[in-house]
Order: sequence, then structure tokens, then C-alpha cells
Amino acid sequence: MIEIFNNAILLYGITITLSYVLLAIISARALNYYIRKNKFVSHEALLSSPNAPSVSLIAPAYNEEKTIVENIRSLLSIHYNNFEVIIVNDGSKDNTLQTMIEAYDLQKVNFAIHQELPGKPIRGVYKAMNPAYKKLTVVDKVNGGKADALNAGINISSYDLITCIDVDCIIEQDGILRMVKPFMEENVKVIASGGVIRIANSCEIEDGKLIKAHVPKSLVARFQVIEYLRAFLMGRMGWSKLNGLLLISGAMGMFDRRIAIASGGYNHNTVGEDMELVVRMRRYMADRKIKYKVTYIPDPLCWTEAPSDYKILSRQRNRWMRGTMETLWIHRKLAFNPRYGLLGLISYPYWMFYEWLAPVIEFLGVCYFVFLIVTGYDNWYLFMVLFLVVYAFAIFMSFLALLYEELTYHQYTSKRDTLKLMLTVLLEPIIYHPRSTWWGLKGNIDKIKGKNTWGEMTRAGFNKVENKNV
Amino acid sequence: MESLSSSKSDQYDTIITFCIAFIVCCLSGAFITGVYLFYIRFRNQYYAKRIARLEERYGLLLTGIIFDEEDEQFEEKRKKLIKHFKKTYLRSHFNKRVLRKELLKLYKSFSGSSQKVLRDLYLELRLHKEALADLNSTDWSVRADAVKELGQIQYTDAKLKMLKLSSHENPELRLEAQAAFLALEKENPFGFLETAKAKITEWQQLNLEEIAKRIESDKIPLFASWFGLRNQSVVEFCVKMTATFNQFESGEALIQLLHAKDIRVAKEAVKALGNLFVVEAQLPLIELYPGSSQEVQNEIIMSLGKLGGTEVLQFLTDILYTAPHEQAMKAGMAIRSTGYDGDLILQQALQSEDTHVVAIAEHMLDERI
Amino acid sequence: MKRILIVEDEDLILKALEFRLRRDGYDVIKAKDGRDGLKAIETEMFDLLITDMMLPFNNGLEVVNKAKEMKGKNFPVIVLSNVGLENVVLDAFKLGADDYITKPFSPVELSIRVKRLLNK
Repeated sequence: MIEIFNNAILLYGITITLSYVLLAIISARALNYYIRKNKFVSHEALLSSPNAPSVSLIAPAYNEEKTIVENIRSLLSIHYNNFEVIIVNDGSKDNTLQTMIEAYDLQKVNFAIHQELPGKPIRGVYKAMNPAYKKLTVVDKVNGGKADALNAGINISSYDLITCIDVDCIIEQDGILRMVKPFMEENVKVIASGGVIRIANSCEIEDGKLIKAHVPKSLVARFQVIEYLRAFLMGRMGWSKLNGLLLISGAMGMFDRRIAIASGGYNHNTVGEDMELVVRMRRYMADRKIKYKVTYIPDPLCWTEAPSDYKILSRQRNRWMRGTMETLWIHRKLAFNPRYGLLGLISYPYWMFYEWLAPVIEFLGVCYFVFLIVTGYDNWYLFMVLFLVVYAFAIFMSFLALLYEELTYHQYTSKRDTLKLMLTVLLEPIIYHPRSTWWGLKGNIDKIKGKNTWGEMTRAGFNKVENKNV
Repeated sequence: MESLSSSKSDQYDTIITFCIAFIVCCLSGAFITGVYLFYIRFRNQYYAKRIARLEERYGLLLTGIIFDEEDEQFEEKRKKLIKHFKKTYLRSHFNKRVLRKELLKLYKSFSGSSQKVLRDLYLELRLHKEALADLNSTDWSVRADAVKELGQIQYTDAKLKMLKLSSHENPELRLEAQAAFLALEKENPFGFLETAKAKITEWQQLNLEEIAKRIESDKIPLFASWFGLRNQSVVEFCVKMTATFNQFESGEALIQLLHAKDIRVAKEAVKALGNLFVVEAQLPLIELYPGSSQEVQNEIIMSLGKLGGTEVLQFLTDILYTAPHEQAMKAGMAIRSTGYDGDLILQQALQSEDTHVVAIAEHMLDERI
Repeated sequence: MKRILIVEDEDLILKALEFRLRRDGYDVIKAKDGRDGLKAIETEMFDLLITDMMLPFNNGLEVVNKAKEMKGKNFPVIVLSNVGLENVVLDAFKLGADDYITKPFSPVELSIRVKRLLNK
């Protein structure tokens, strides 16, 4: 019995290590190619051609009266010709709508509303009367949560591509230009493209524009910087190269509107609506045997405030875990299904074992050790060695991620910042990792107990820091 | 019993040894990574500083020469500048590279005689030699960059090299070579299309189009003559260009393409027929409608709106009243775009009993949207 | 001496424009983005505005709008834009812009257009 358990843990450890190493190698190659490819690219053609795809930027807003005017202004200064900004007021209880109407000279127009994706009723569509704000459309609807608001925006849009963002995100000015390019340069149909989220805590920001990036002062946020760098530069870059990406961040993703609609839009019944949509769109294409791709670009395009205390962060992670579980459950048909190729045989199992079950398995592992100690097997030397194996590997991977960042985008230019990050890397496995494991485990428990957070989400709104989907 | 436990402890020892080796590897890996990171940081900062300094200087000298163009002692000043450049600034490849970048940046920002001044300077300083040398680099991105540079600066002697590279296996390099060939070849700039085997992606098409717009109009070929090529992405591109360059005489050929197997070609043909106002396409487009995908149907509706005519209006009105929302909206837009007659139809639709139709008509007639 | 406000985010073009206009005998005020442009319109005195269309913070249309609001409908405005952005230029004209120049541009042409507008 103990033998089997030992071997299972060993096997799990070896496969997870190997997969990290493999992804790191694939990512390095993909990053290198991406950087060289885009070194001399100019986006002028994309800016000026009538043949460039049209893009709708959809941003839901809930109780944002203090910041909405500035946020919209910075969205309107994004460099792209053929695009529109759709702000969806999701039944705000404050004066969000009135503030927008006054600031942008909006009038309710006779928009022929057709809710192809079902959702809460739309009360009205507003357009700016001043040609300077021609690209702005505001949708006012009954409160229904983030997924519902995004669906309303998709219903109103008539453009080729849609980008769903959080309204308080800081989007780089050439963000749309960069995101659109992958849709045009592949030999097969591209259904979605993901972007990178970076952490804006402690960064220098003026009027909705990032002036200079700094490492966050708060240790909690700094842990997340490391986590994000690893996830975006090593994990997702590698997965996208394999065309096995399952998750595109809710705060920065672009989709083919037709396919998003055809596959049913955002799902109201999950807290992980961003991941669920990507998986469903993939299934839609695979079921119809159409060749497709989900791409990803590693440029830092979107900056967002991350939770800086453990309490808020724990709620966010709890929700992510439940979102992952829900998505995996809804699409359980994919599991080990050769009909779905890589999606069913590799991506899905990977998410199952290393994202969903990782905290559970880790917890069981710890319990097992405790059990051994209690029963008198006190080989401290072995424990130390095993702990060090995990620790050393973790910091090696994190250092590699820092190096990738340095070689590609080097957003953090001061030496102090880099040293701070390195110190954070050394602390992360001891201070942060046990906590995030616990949050994931808690998410599992809550989900199994049947915690339904959909209702709670509607009440809480979705632009609070904890409710970001990254 | 004895031997079993000893083999077990052997196994245990190997595991421990392996683990310790792994730990040492990872820790030293992390350490080396960290040191390397700082090395990269310092190296890049050093170069960035040098580049910034040079750029500043070059920028000033170059803008100076452009604006002295109307000066009486222009020739004299220019000679002095060239001498100055050669003596002080151009002794290393590094300096030359920065100068090339800076000169090209300016070159792209200005038109007319300023461009000529800069180009003459580029050639006289023999910077093209550097770019030509880069063409032999083992790094495809360096080659692509050089290709781009030579194309932009109009170095026509390199056009055969470009033609050769225009079928290179690397898509990025291929695109740059095609674009450069387009800019350099004066007689048959689109010649590479005939032999292009690889797919020309939408992105590549967009970039080629951008360059094509700057070609002298009498060198633009009749794109319809390539509609029969095997490579469907080339045909798609040619259809787009037929519309971009207003080749009205190709109307008949475009109608033939409506039934192309490649859906993208058919879609572009539909668009082009509308943009070129090929009135003869009214019936063929109406006939094509029922069997098409939604995407193509939308384009057919929009093109019909541009063509107009009684039959077309009747057809669009039917769609407005009967089709699903997306097509009905497009039909509304198309009807609106036909002008006075269309407005009448929409006014009538306001009286309809179908609230959906009324909503669309109201939408279309709302000037504020 | 007439004063001209230039709003342009590309350093090189800004410098070149300044260079040329100073040679032609104008005084030049520069703004590097839409936000500075709006500020300059509020606080500075000048006789002509040249603005790019794609700017950080606030876009060119807002800059044109503000200038026409603050300085009157007849205040001369030239917009700079990339080739192919005719629809944006059209919006600028709706807001009352008087002339436009596409990038890449010829310095000589620019200087003629400025002179023409200022002598009206």
C-alpha cells in the first residue's frame, strides 16, 4: 500500500517536473521567434487599410462613477482605425450612466437590439453626439453579472473581432494592433488570441497610461508578479506553440465574434466564464472538423491592479479554482478523448492533474508525511532532501522566468527592483506556495459543498480587485 | 532477508544521491541564471546609452541637412557633412547601424525632395554595402531587416536578390522580400505572384497592398489576368487589388469568380463587384445568395446596396422582412445606402406590423448612429 | 511674430516640424501628447494649431474639438495623419479642421499650407 502511494507521488513529481522543463524549452524557442519576427514589423498597413478587420472593444462597468470617464478616454485613444468601444453599464447602482451621458454628450438612440445571446434585458443604447467620441457606444442593461454584460456587448457589436477587457485595465496604445495581427498571419482560422496581464501595483500611472513599471511594494503583489511571469512567459507561451491553450485571460482576450456567438457566448453559470468560453469555442471547431488555432502574444499589453492582501487574494484564488473545476466538469467529454486530439489527450488531462488536482495531491502528500512522522518513521534527513529538491527546482524555474523577462521585455529597469524580485523568488516557495495550495484546496471543498457564487457575484459586482480573471 | 534489506538501502542511497545532484544542478542553475541576467542588463544598458547618444547627434545632423536644402551653399554644406560623418562617426559597424536606422526613420517621415537628399546621403556614405552584407547573415531576421531597408531606400540593384528571396521558406523573410521586390522592380513589379507557391496570408496581403499603393499607376498590371492561377491566396489578393486600383474592365472576370471553390476568393469577388459598381452583377449576386454562408451573404447584401436598382431593392426589402436579424440589419444598411428610394422603403417599413422590422427601420433612419 | 502649437508624439517629426517652422519665422510651442495639447490650448496664446490624429492620452479629434471650442470656429487648424486614415480626417473636418497633411510629408508643402492659413 505504502509502496504504491510512494510510487504515485514519485510519478506525479517526475511528470510535473518534466512538463515544466518541456514547456520552458518550448517557450524559449517560441519567444525567441516571436521577438525576432516582430522586431522590424510596422503596423502602418494595419492602421490604414480598409481591409483590416474591425474590432469591438467590450468593457463591462459596474459602479464605476469615479473613474469611468477617465477610463473611457484612455480606451478611445487606443491606436486602431476600424474599431469601437462598447461600455456595458451592468445596472450600476451609482451614477455611472449619468456621468457618462454628461461627459460624452450621449443620447439614447433607436438601436435595433437583438439579443442573440440570451441575457438580462437591455434598457437602451447610447451614442455620443460629438464626432470626437464617435467610436463610443454605451449599453445600459439590467444587472446580470460579468458574463451577462459581455454577452450584451457581443450582441450589440457588428464587427469581426471582439476584445473583452476589464474597464479599469490599462491597455497599451498599440494593444489592439498587436492582438489583431495573429488573426491574419496563420494558415488556418484563428478563433481567439490571448494577451499578457501584468501587475500594475506601485507602477507609475498617469491618466490611464503606464509611464514606468515598478515592482510592487507589497510582498503579496510581488509574489504574484513572479507567478504571472512564470505563467505567461513560460506556461502559456509554450501551450500556445502546441496549440493547446485552454485559458485566455478575461482581462485581455480577442475572439472571432461569429464563432463566439455560434458557440453560445459567455456562460452565466460559471465563475470561470473566460476559460469556459475558450474550451467551448475549441469544441465547436473540433466537432465540425474545421482546422483552427488559438494564439497568444507575449507582449505586455494590459496592466491591472492585483490583490495586495491575503484575504482578497484567497477569495480570488478560491474562485479561480471553482471556475476551473466547473469548466472541466462541463466539458468532461473531452477527457482522454482521442477525437479531440491534443485538446482531449494532453491539454485537458494536464489541467485536470496539474491545475485542478495539484493542491489536493500536494495536501495528501503532506498528510502522508505527517502520518509517517506520527507512526514513528522519523527520517528527517530524507524529508530535508525532498523538500530541498522541490525548493531548488522552484527557484530555478522562477529565475528562468525572470531571465526570459529580461531577454524579452525587461519592464523592470532598476537594479533594486530586480534584486527585490530575486529575493521574492527565494521566499515564494516557503511563504506563498503553501497558502496558494490551501486556497486551491479550499476552492475544491467549497465547490464540492456546492457553494454557488454566481448570485454572490452579481451582488458584489465584478470590478473589485478580487474578481479579476487572469 | 539480509540481502533484501541491503538492496533496499542501496536503492535508498541512489535516490538520495540523485536528489542531491538534482538540488545542486537546480541551485547552480538558478545562480548562473541570476548572474547572466545582470550581465545582460549591464550589456544592454551600455548599448542603449551609446545608441541614444549617437541617435541624438545623427538626428540633428540629418534634419539640418534636409532643411538646408533651399540654401545657396547647400552643396558645400553637404560635402562638409559627408566628410564629417566619414571622419568621426562611421568607423565601426555599430555606428553605421545606428546611422542607418536613424536615416531610415527620417526617410519614412518625409516625402518629396527631402527623401532624395537622404537617399543620396545614404548611397554616398556607402551604407548600402552594410545592408548588402547583412543579406548574407545566418540570422533570418537580420536578413529580413536588411531586405526591408534596401526596399525602402529604393536600392534597385538588389531586386534580383529580392526575387530570389521572395520564395524563401521563412514566411517573415519571404514577405519582406516580396514587399521589397514590389518597391524595386519597375517593369513587372507583381511578377513574383506568378511563381508564388506558399500561401500569402492576410497579413502579407495587407502589407503588399500598402506598398502597391505607392507604385506609379502606369506600372499597375491588370490583376484579372492572374485570376486563373492555382494559388488561391494569390487570386484572393488579385481580386482585392482589382478593387483597390479601380480596374472596372475586370467586372466580367470577377463575376466568373463568384462560384470559386475557395470561399475567401468568392467573398472578395462579391466585395469587389460592389466597390467597382459592376451593375451586371446584380442578378448573379442575387442568385448566389441562397446557397452561400452567412459571411458571404452579408457581403452580398452590402454589395447589392452599392449597386442599387429596382430588382435589387425588391430583393433587399424581402430580406429585411424575412431574414434573420444579422442579415436583416445588413439589408437595412444596404437599403439606406441606396439613397432616396431606399429611404422611402425604410419609411414604409416604419408602418409595418412586425416590430422587428420597425426596430431595424428606426435604427437605420436614426442619423445619430 | 505668429505662434504655432504643434501636438505630435513622434519625436523626430516634432523636431523636424519645429525646425522648419522656426526657419520660416514662426514661434513654436510643442506638446508631446493629447493631454499636454489640451493643457496648452487652455493656457497658451497661439495663432495656429497643427495636431497629429493618433496621440497618447487624448486623441487628435479631442484636441481639434477643444481648440475650436476655446479659440472660436474660425481658428485655423491643420491635422496630420497617416495615409489611409481618410475617415479620421473626415471626422476632423466635421469638427472644423481647415486643412490636412498626410505622413510622410514634404516640409516645403507644409510651410506653404501654414502660410496660406495664417494669411487668410
